[in-house]
Amino acid sequence: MKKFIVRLLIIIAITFVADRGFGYVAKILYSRTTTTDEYKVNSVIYRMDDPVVFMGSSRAHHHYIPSIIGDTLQTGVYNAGLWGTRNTFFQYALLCNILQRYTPKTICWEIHPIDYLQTPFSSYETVDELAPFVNYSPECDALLKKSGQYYRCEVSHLYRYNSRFVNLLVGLTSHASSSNKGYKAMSGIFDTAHATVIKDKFPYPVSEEKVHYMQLFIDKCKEKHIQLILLYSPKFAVEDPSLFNIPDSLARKNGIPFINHYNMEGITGHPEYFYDWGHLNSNGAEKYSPIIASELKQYIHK
Amino acid sequence: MVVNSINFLVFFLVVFIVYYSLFNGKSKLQNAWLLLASYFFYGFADWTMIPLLLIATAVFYGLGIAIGNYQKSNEKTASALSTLGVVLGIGLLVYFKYLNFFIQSFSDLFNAIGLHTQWYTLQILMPLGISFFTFKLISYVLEVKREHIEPCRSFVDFATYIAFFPTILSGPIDRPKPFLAQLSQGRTLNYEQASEGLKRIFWGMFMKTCVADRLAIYNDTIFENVVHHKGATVMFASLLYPIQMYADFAGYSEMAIGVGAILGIKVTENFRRPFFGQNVAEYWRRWHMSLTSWLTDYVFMPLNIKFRDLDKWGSILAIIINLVLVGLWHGANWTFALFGLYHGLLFVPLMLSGSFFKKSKTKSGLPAFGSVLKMILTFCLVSLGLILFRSASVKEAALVISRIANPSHWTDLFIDYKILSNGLFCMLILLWKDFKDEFLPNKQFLLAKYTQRYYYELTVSFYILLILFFGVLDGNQFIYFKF
Repeated sequence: MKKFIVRLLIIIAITFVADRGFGYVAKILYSRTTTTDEYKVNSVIYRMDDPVVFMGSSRAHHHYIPSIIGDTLQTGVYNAGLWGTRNTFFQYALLCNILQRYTPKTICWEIHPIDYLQTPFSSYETVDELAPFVNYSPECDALLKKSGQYYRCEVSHLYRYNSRFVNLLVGLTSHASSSNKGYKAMSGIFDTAHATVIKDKFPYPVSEEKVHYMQLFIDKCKEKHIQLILLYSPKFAVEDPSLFNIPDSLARKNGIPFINHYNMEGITGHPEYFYDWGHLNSNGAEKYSPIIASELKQYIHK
Repeated sequence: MVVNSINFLVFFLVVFIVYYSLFNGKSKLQNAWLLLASYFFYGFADWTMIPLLLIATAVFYGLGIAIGNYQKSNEKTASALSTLGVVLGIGLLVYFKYLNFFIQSFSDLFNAIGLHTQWYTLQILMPLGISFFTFKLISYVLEVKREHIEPCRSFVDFATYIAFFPTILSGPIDRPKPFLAQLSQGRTLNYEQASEGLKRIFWGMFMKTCVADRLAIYNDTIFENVVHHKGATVMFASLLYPIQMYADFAGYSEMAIGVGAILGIKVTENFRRPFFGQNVAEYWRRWHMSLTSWLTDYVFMPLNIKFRDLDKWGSILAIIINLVLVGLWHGANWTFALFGLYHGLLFVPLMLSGSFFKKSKTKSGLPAFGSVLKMILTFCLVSLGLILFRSASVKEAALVISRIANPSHWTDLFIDYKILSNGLFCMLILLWKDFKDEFLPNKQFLLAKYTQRYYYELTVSFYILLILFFGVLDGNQFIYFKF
C-alpha cells in the first residue's frame, strides 16, 4: 500500500511540474499565435486601443470594415467580432476583460437572437474561449465558474489551453495581418440554386439570464461612460420583426440607439452580397460598411 | 455518474480507502462493501431499477442453488430449471428492450399486407446495463447446469458478481467461474496489479476524452446533417466513426479493467487492437471479445452442433444467426439486425474458402504489405457496416450510403481543422500505441531507454497531461451505456 501511495505521489509531483511547465510554454505560444480566434482575442484584450469598437459574433466579424467606417467617422475603429456563437455571456466577459486595460469611447454591438433566446449550444460554454484569461477580471471569472471551467483552470495551467494545440502550432508558422483591424472578408457568393434558403426562425423562448447579462453589459458601458449602440446588419431573408422585441425594449428602456437593418433594401435578398444566408461576403461588407458608417456618424458625433 | 468524472473519482477513492484499510484481506467484508458500492453506483445512475436488479439477482441465485441440488438426483428438473433461467433472462431482455420493437414491427407488417390493426406500444423504461447483467445471469445458470462451476452459496458474492460497479453499465461481460473464484479470496493491494490498473484507467480516459469525444464533435456534425454534406465528407466521417466507437467502448473497458485491477479483481479483456485484424473473422475475435465469446459458447456452438448435418452451410447458418444476435443485442432496431446480417454475410466467403478457421500467424516485426492491404480492406468493410449501426433507421443509412456512392458529391471535403485536428492528433497517438503493442511489443524507444527508473510514472503523467491538453472533459456518456 505504502509503495503504491509513494508511486501515486511521484505521479502527482511529475504531473504538477509538467503541467506548470507546459502551461507556461502554452501561454507564451498563445500570446504569439497568429491564428484567427486566439490572435483576435489576444489583440482585443492586450493590443486594441481604438476609440470605436465593434463587438459581436461572426456577423460582426465579417460585416464591418474598420478602414471604411473609420474614414467616415474620422476616428480609429476596431472590429472585435469573433467567429462562432458568441452570445451575451461571452460579450460581457470580453468587455470586462477589455476594460481592465482601456476604455473605448463607443461600442457598437451587433446583436443576434442567440444573445437573448434560449438557443441550443449557446449557453455559458461560449465563455470557455476566455479560459486563458482566468483571474484577469472578476466578471469573466464569475462566468467561467458558471461554465464549469474556472476551477479546472486554477488546478491545471495546461487545461487553460485545452484543445488549442494545433492552433498554437499553426499560429507560429503563419502571419497575421494587422491592417484589417479585426475584420475578415468572406469570399464567395451565396449559391441560392443549391442551398436551402430558409427564413431565419428562432422558435426558442426568451432567456431571462441572457437578458440580465445584456442589461449588465449596458450598465457596464454606462458606468464607464461608453456610448453603446446596438446594431443588426442585413440578412439574406426577411425575418419576423417580433424577433427584435427584446433588443427594442432594452434600447428604449436604457435610452440607447438600436439600428436595425435586418431587411435592408438593396442588400436583403441579393445573393451577390451574401456568403450564406446569414453572412455578407466581401462585396456585401464593402457595400454595407459606408451605409452603417454614415448612419453611425449621426450618433457618434452627437 | 460517468466513470471519467470528478464524482466517480471521489466515489472510487472512498471505496478504495475503506476496501483496503478497514476490510483489507477479509473477503466477506470486502465483497459486502463492493456490493454496497455497486448498488450505490447503479442507483446513482437509475435508482428506480434497483428492485429489478435485486429481484433478478435473487431469482437467479435461487435457480443456481436449485440446479446444483437437482443436478445429481434429478437431471430433468435441473435441465428444466436452467431452461427456466434462460427463458427468464431472455424474457427480461425482450420485455425491457425488444417488446415495443416487436409490436411495432408486427404492426408495420400487418399494415403492409393490408390488415389494419390497432397495436399500442408500451411505455417501458429500459434499465441501464440490462444487456450486460442479463447475460451474466444467463451464463451463470448455464455454467452451473454444465457443471463448470459449483452454485454460488453466498448471495453477497453472487450479487457482487452481477452488479460489480465497474462493469455493470457497459461491460465487459465477466464469466462467473473466474470472477466468483476471485471473490472467494481476500484481497490485499497488489502493487504491480494496482499500478497497471491505474495506467489503464488513464489510458482509457485518454481514449474516451481525447479521441472518442473529439472525433464525435466532427462526426455528429456530419451525420446529423448528412443532406448538407457532400459524399467525400460523409465518407471521411464514416471512416472516422469506427475509430471513435473503438476509442469510446475500448476506453470504457480499459477503465473498468483498471478499476477492477486496483480492487484486486481481474476483469475480462474486451478488445485486442481490432483494426489489425486481417479479415472480418479476426476483427470479431478482437472486438468486444467478452460478448462474442459469450455468444460463441452459448449460441454459436450449440447451433453449429444442431446444424452439423448441413456441413459447411450449417456453420454458415450458425454464424449468421450468431451475428444477427450480436447486432440485435446492441438495440431494438432493424439497423442493428441488418448490421449483424451484413457481418454474417461477410463470413460466407471466409467459411467457404476455409480462411475462417485459420488464425493469422503472429510474427514479431512489421506486417507485410499484403497483410496491411487486408487490414485496410477489413477496416473499410467494418466502416461500411457501422453506417447501419450509427443510423437511426434503414432509410437514414441508405441516405448516408447514397451520399458516399454518388460520384457527383465527391468534391469539397469539409474539414474544420480546429474541430478535427486535435482529435486526429490524438487518434494517431492511439493508433501508434496499438501498432507498437501489436507489432513491436518488446521494442524500447528513446524515452523508455533513458527513463527506466521512472518510466511508469512518466507514462502515467504523460497520459494525464494529454487528457488535460486535449480531453473533452464535459463529454458525452459512453456510447455503450445505451445498450
